[in-house]
Amino acid sequence: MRLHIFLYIISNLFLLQLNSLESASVDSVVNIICVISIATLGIAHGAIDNILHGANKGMSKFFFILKYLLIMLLFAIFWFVTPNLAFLVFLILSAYHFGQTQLVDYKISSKLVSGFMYFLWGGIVILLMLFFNKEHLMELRGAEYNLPEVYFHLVTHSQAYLLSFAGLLVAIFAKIRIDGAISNSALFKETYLMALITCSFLLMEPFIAFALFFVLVHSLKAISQEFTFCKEKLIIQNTVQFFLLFLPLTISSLVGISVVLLLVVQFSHLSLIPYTLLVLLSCITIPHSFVMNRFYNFV
Amino acid sequence: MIFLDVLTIPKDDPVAFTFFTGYMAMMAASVFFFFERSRVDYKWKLSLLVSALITFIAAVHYYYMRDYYLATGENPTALRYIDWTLTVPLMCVEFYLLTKVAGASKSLMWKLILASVWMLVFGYIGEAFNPEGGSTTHSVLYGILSTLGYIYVLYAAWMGEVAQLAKESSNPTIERSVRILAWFVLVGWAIYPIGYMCMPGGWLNIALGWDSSNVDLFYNIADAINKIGFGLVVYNLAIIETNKVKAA
Repeated sequence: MRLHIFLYIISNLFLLQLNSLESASVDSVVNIICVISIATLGIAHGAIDNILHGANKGMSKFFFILKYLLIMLLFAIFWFVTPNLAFLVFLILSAYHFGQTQLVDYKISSKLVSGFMYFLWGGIVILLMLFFNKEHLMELRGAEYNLPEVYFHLVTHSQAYLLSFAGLLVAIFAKIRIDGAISNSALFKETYLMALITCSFLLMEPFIAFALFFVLVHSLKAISQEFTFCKEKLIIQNTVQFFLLFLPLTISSLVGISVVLLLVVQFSHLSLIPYTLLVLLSCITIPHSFVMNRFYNFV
Repeated sequence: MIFLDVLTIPKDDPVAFTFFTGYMAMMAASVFFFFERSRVDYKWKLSLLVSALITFIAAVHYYYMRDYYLATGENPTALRYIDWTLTVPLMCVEFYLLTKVAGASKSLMWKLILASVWMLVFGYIGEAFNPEGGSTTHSVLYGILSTLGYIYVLYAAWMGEVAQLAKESSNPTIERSVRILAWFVLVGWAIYPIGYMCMPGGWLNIALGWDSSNVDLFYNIADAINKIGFGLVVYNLAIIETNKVKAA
């Protein structure tokens, strides 16, 4: 068992117990810890994208960041032109990215099959969050949040999508098991993890369950893969050097996000913050998922 | 005289049913492990004896628990925890015995025993001394304390000393057996906290309305799987290793 999965298990065990207290102060502390974890480990897992892309120093690094920011800007414009399509693209790429990080170790000969498998795995995680919080999420319709219509479509039909995705994923896992690309033990581990993620989304608040998944299952795994890569390429020698490597862009990203949110509060309305966060998150995810896809194919 | 006291098993009571099947399964497993002990190589005899003791102790407790449940309809919490206080540390001893060939120290055994006793004592306080009607704070406090002991055993089995020793044994059968036992700790033992959270004041009791009858059902099923399964893994390892010695 890897450390990040162990941490995910014990965090779920403790948070499930704390959940029963139904205390506002405990909930606030847990929420703050989740926000801090996403802001640190979550952001950090994408903070060395330039190195993973091969643009380590000097002008190449500068142009990489410029290109990165340009893609983010273009995607933000895409949101204003066609929010439904932008949201859908964001979800598809996020699903693919989550699945790729989790399942990349299995060597599957067909890129089409592996790509579809990544998408289904990540899609299930996203749909679980929507399905178990359907009523709460539907309440946002008509509110001031200005969420795209496709979001409500997904929430309404989350059960059907979830069952279809799960059925297809089981079929793919069965196929790759027959092909010998995955062992019984690995298959059991994947099933266990998915069951645990399902329990987490079923029993906990959506934000907390998502934060646990995003930080411990996804980001920590990606960081560990990045650490191994940097060490193998002799970019770093120890953990401290690795920490210093992703510190500058993590801080820059946090400052950037804070500035945008402050501008929204200053010139617009507080209710726009969730929508702005969604757009910001998607703008960061798009270039990051492309870089990670290139990184996984290269490694 | 005894026929006057016979209690019938209600057809619609899965808890009573599983108390009887649990008892018989444990007893049968004990007989099996005791007799099979003579077939294995000397170095595995102690492991098989411990397996037999685990299921035998559980069988005796189940004998009393099934009657207690039928007579009162209540959870036999104290009896259950007496059973676990004896059998769970013995399961930890199994980890030590399996990894002894790779140099496991006695201190490892004691650490595992201590962690399991810690887990059970706080679990017992959490369940048995919960105020009337159920106090969530009490349940959560002792639940968290008990979980700490569980986490230590889980860590040792998956990533800590036990896992390392199994790897160092350079014996794929031992490595595989320890891995299966670690799965028992991860999945099989996880049923106990679920049962704990069904008690009055527990979270599953509050949120999903699961009650003490669900607890006994969970515990009975989990006990049978964990204790007999644990023993069968050790038995399988002992037979494979004995056959290797015979073939050599």
